[in-house]
Amino acid sequence: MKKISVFFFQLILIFWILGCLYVWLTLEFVTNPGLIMIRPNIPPRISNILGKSRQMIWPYVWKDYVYTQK
Amino acid sequence: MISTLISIAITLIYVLACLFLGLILIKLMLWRWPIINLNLLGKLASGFMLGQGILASTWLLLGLGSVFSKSIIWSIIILILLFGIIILRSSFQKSLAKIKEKVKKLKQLSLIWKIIFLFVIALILSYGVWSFVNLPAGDAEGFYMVLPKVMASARKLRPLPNTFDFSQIGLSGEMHFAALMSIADSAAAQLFIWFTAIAATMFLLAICSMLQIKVLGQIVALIILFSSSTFTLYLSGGKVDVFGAAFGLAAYFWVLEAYRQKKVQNLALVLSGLFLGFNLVAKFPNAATVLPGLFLIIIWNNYSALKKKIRNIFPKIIYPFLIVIAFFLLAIIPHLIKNWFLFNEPLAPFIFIKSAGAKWLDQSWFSSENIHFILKTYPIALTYGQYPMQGGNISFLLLAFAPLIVFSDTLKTIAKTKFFQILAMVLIGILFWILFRPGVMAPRYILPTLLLAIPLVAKIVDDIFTKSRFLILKIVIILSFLIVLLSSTYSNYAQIRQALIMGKANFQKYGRFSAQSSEFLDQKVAKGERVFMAGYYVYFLRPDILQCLSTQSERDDQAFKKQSPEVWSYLYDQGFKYMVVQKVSFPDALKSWDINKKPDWLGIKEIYSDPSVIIYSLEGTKPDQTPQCDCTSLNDKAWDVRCLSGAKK
Repeated sequence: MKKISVFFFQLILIFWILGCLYVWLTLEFVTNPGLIMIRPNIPPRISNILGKSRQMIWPYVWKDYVYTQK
Repeated sequence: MISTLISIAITLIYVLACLFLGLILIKLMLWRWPIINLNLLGKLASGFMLGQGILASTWLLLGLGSVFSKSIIWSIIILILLFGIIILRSSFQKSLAKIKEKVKKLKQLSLIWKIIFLFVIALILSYGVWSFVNLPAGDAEGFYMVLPKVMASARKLRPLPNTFDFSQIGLSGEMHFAALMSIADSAAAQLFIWFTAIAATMFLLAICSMLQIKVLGQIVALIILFSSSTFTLYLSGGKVDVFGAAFGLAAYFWVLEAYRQKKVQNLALVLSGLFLGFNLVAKFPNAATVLPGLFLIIIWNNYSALKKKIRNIFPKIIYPFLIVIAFFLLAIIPHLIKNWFLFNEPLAPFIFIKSAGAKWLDQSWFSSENIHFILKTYPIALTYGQYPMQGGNISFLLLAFAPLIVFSDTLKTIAKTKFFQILAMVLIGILFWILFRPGVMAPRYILPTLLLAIPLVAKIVDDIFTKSRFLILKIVIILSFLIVLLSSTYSNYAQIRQALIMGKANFQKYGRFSAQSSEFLDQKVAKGERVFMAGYYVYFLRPDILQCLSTQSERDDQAFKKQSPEVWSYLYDQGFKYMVVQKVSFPDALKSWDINKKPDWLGIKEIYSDPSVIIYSLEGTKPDQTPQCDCTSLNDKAWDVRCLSGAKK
């Protein structure tokens, strides 16, 4: 039973790490100067997937700037 | 090529001077405990940063006294180097032996980790090259490299006219920029940022040693650090956030050391207080999150003594607090003198005694609804946030690997207390920031506190790799490292390559929108002529033009509140011969200023235009009235705006 739960937790953690990596890559493709340069060379299908992922993520990582000072 | 090598050589000499000065002082402080065992990296980084703090204060005082000259700077540096070689000679061999030990441990790594380590070194070195090659960018073009440029030229420290209030901030990195611009050039000043980043790295690795993290785990710490864009973005470009990070980590390191090496506890608290003070001066928001952590450690390590006898509160809690505070105050004295001398407000920009003072510290960047959203998503905001003005993220690897603690043995080892203390320092620092500035989303403002989380995750990953199980998990971790390292190294390589292919002149012309218009003005504006600047990015202007630019008051309180034709009369009265509008800073400036609605005696001509900047010349003579203000030469390099009595600048 313990081996199964260790295996199960390992699996969750692997997916968690890969998920964190994927989100980072999605955002890096619009912020990383080097990756921006090679973007034209990326196959359109991958570009589209990354673009759609970015559209989904964007509302959770960006908000309008409203400067106020007391 | 030769000038590049000279620039690098001067930077190295300057770095050595900072290092020697600090190590001499530490050696003097430790004279009673010659055999005390300090972590080598911690000691070297402490020497470098202590020397930096003292030299920055020295340059500041020399600048206030208007004696900030090349000859004095070189004399001080040479004196320090000579004393250093004599006093520290015997320490060199001991340090060399310790370095050889560390290299032996690296040789014991497996092949994959040796490859990863080489990638990490290549990445760190690429940041060094980029810091040298890159140009000042963003806020550095507006203030952080501009004030040093003027100080190096005029040989004195005075507030910049167009950022008068902002000059009240602490000046530490800026003083080193000024010294290096004086004896070398701006590239040397930017390269110095990279050396400061190396010191921050060394403190992080020293804290890793406190957690008994092995070589592999320390490599993980390096990867996480150099994949944190809120750190790496500021390794070049001329901003000073890295100085704050290094001083903050130094303060954390020494308060932890105080309770690891009880023999030198008071000395460690002295150093912690000094570094906290230098941290406040280098980047004052940092200190707001570092200070609570220091006090937490003092209380934590004396809690059981306090429980036994409440009388212990003075020797165990209050006395150490007083040591930290006393030396914190000592470190900030030059900053207080500077603000008293230049603004008559020693406690500015926090507290104003004699004037209302600019309240620019009390700012918020988002609506209250969005602030609540950001606070609810804080770990994600810090690692993935792309919020306006945010300026980078802490590495996503922290978020990715933190849950691995379920498989880590950290909680079962003797390092667990240190682990929890460091975790508590991180959490209390972040909590303080959330409580006092929830509307400001900028990881760089709490950088030392965030970087302190790195050893915790490095420890967790280190534990995973000591186990023989979890093969697939280990493969995924290594894959993450390789992807992060490859993309970061490639990015630096691409930027460096582009800059070198373009050449310095073109890189400046096409890489910085204000460079071309500034170059035009540098050739057009005669000495003693004033320029009205509706814009922030002024770095590429000549130092004499910078010293007589429009003041904050002339721009914000007067010109921007006037319409045509009144504004043109006003600009004439204040002695301006040119008006520059940077559309990115003030896109609406020209809407209320119509050059066709002007006094008959004034000629206004558009003399330069590009997509980002427009420049007008103002020529003419007002009947029966000369300008009230002009740009007066104080000596061959220093200039100042002088106005007739009654006229304001």
